[in-house]
Amino acid sequence: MASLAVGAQSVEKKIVELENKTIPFFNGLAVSADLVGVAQMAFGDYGQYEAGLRVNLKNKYFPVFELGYGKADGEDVATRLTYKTSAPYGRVGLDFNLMKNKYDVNRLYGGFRYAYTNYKFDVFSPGVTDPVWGESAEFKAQDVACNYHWVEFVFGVDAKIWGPVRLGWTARYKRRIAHDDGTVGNTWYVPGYGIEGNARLGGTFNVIFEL
Amino acid sequence: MRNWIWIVVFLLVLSACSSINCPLNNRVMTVYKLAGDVTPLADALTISTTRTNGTDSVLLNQAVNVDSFSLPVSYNRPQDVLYFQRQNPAGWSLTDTVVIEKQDFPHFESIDCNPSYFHVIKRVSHTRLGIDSIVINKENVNYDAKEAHLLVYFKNFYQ
Repeated sequence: MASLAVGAQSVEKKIVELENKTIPFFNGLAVSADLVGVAQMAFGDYGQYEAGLRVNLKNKYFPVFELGYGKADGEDVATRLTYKTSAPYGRVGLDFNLMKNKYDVNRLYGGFRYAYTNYKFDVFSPGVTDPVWGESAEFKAQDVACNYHWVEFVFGVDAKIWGPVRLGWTARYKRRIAHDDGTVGNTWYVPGYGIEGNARLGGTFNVIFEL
Repeated sequence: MRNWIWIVVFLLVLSACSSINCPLNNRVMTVYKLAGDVTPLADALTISTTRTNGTDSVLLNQAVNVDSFSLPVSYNRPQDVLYFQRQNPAGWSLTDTVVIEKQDFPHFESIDCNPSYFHVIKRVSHTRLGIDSIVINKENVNYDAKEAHLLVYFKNFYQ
């Protein structure tokens, strides 16, 4: 009985190996749109529109290109500061299908991205009162030029829903590798990265169309 | 597969958390350090300035035996005018006028944090009744107050 089970397992393994061998090197393209950034934009002070292109190589390697447009128009009622920025950003990277059976319609990904954005921001306050001298000073900086380089480590899943339509999640751990915060200290929202300083974790919810 | 989805959902919920990263030390002060023979200063030292509405504001009130002190900087005036009054226990007093010329730069941390101004001291001029000289030691005035910005040499009347 035990030898029968072992035999069945080895047949199954061989079938998977055979199926993996029959997958062509270039196995299609997929385009995706992120809904998390759109929701952030709709319900918060900042967010991003983002689309991605994923190349399928043997259902195993997936070079990924992501382009987005990040935007912030935030105001804090306590500090009376407003912050505005809008700029494109881009990411390039590679995902690996972590599923043992590469032929499976559902996929589990691990991967990485390199990302970059070049942006300008405006910050404004109608008046900061000098506590000693008593006068009101306008706090204003316009077109402060900045740039940001970062990497993201990605873990994700996606599943076939219907025909060419798939849905998937990714969770991302971000690390800044280089930056220029401009001339007035720090920045707040960085297009594509999120809030500077505390945006180490992020995620996307993707609607994917296989071409 | 289902377990992985829950892990992803957990990570996304975690990513929704945010914190405010305002600096704990957010005071921008000029640090004055006494140098030369007179350190500490035995006389009572009072420092004041004139506010925009014409009233006086005392920044340091009759401090005795001081060897250093910190004073605020105006947010966006081209120069601050300070009055340094030395008062001897015998009753006489000497008041010097100190003019600090500076450039002001808005400093932004985050929209959650109160805005502040950093400064660069360009020039210091003063009368010479009780003060011998004032030397710029560090021109950038920001959150870092470890090093003295100005070295004050008081005249020694007690030798």
